[in-house]
Amino acid sequence: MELTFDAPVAEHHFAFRCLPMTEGGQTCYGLQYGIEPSGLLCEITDGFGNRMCTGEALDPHDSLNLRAEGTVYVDRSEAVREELHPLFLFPSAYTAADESLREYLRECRLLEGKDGRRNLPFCLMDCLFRDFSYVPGKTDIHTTAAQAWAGRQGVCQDYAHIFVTLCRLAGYPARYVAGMMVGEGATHAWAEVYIDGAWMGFDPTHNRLTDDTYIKLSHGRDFGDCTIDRGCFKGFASQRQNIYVKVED
Amino acid sequence: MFELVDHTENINRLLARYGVKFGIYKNHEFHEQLFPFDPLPRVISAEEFDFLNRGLSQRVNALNLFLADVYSEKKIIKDGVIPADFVYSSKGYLPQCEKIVPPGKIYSHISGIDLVQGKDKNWYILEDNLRIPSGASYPMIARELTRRAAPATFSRTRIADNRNYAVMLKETLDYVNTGGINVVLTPGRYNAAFFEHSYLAERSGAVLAMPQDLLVENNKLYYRQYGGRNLQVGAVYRRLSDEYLDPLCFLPESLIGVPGIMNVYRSGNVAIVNAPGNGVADDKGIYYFVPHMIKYYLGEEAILKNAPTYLAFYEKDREFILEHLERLVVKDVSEAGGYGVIFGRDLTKEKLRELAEVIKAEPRRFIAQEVIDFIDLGIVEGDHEVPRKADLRAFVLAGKDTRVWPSGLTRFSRNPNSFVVNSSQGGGFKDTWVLSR
Repeated sequence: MELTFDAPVAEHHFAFRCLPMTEGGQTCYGLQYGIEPSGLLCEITDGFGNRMCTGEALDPHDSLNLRAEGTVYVDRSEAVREELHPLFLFPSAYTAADESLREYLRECRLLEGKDGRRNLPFCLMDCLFRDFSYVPGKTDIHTTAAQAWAGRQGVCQDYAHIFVTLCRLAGYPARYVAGMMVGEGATHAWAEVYIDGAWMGFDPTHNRLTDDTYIKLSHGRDFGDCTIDRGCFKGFASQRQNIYVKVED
Repeated sequence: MFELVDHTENINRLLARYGVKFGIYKNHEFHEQLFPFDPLPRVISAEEFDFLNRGLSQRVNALNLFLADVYSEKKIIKDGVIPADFVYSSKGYLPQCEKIVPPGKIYSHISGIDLVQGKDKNWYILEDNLRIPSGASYPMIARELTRRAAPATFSRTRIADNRNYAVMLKETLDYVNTGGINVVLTPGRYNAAFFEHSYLAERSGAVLAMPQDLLVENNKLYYRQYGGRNLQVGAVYRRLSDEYLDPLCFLPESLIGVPGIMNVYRSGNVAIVNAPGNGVADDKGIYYFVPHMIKYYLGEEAILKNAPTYLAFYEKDREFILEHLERLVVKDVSEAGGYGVIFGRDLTKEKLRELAEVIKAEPRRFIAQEVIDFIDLGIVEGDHEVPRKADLRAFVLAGKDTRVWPSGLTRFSRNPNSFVVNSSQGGGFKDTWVLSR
């Protein structure tokens, strides 16, 4: 990951959530990472169990790079049972439902169990895939589920937010997931629903369940809990963030 | 104590000069107003204080156990004593604080518990303030000034010295300090309680720090000294609210926070006093459950009573509230500082109907309480002594043990018809004397 600034900044404090976690069906081995300009990094687990890498670059700099390499072993063939945090039943900043989403849930519910469709989350994923279009540039990182739904267009973050909102509204505990997929490019976002004592991954952007090609970086109530980079610095500069992901099978 | 009356004007003038003021924001403008001091103290006997001490310590111990539970195992929710709704949809619950074990396992180090004494002589708890309760400095400095004005009063009457608050505060901070200095973190000069921040720092020997004086480096917190070495900080008595505390963790737009402080805290490298996330326990909705908590965690009956409270969330209570709206006081659980408090008896029929609709639409938002007819205390107005409603904010400090400060802030309403005593609503204050045996 590369952060660049159009003017030098100083006293830059950051918290990155970009290291693969070990949880559920995923184990991370031999992770090596470092930043440039060089500095001390600390690793902390946040309130959701996400791996967080924090530190600071106090001297003036116009770019900050973090490079992480390692091996992640993924096997999601067996559900890993764990205790539910009731928090994931309640709406959050990005996932508060409006009347339009409530109405949409009622529509989707009519299809539950029909045409060989399984339980509600599957049905919601189907409907959302049909009724929402993947169009980059229509939404940004501040767009809530209700706002994205109003425009019927957005990116993976919006799919995940709307899906999570609908699930919670229907009484299914759901959480937002940030992660990566096999291949090269940027990061991806999907959702998990708590079913029969275990978290199950749904990727509404691709209308499929997650498999072993998905690597989790973090989960939380919504995007706000999973921001890859949170930081603040002193300096009159705007920041650009570039994330480059390469996952080999 | 009546000889103090002659000194009223003098003392108020001195208080103003020391900066004992209250700042309030109204319509987005900052106004500073004096916090009028009334010379007649509230007097509490040694036996009565002993009783209050037991009741308040019990309450704060239970609240601390509740906070530890909510941010770790959540047994009280699993056991069905408190509905999950009241915890997770409370604005005060911060998932960012999950699984943090604060130094000494203490969450509420300094609790401000508001109580009133009914005409039946019973004390009732009105609310718990577990975030950053302010007000201890006012009776402290008032005592200082009255002692100077009328020293004989204090040698004749055996009154517990309340100036020990500074020592109690220091002991509390030292107990949780993880290595380093103690600081009082103030958002700055334009905060409502800036006088208190500077006074408490000075008295307790802590360093008064503005946010820009603190710096996180290598997962430790430092105080920047001018032109010198940075000093490590072991305990922060912070006087800014959770959401502004750390832009990396809470509101990203906060300019008055210390970036990274939450990670230092999570790693156990600094104590934050009071702990972030305490808002979940002093929510007006959770208040209803405090007697249940005392029973659940301590296996004891609550020594001090809550005011009789009904929770609109429960259907049975809601029906009762709607039936008796005109005699109850309704409180919006998300508001503080005397805002969002509605007395049914002050409303017209039409307004009562409107209120009933709002309660039906959003039951989780409201509690209703019986209006407690609490005792009047005499205050000096001109040449007369007149009765006014007054409450008591008791300060409970939790460290090695839990103790109540033998004094407290007695606030009164200057309006003869009002029961609302909050300083943000224009009330005044009195010293609180606890007699020693």
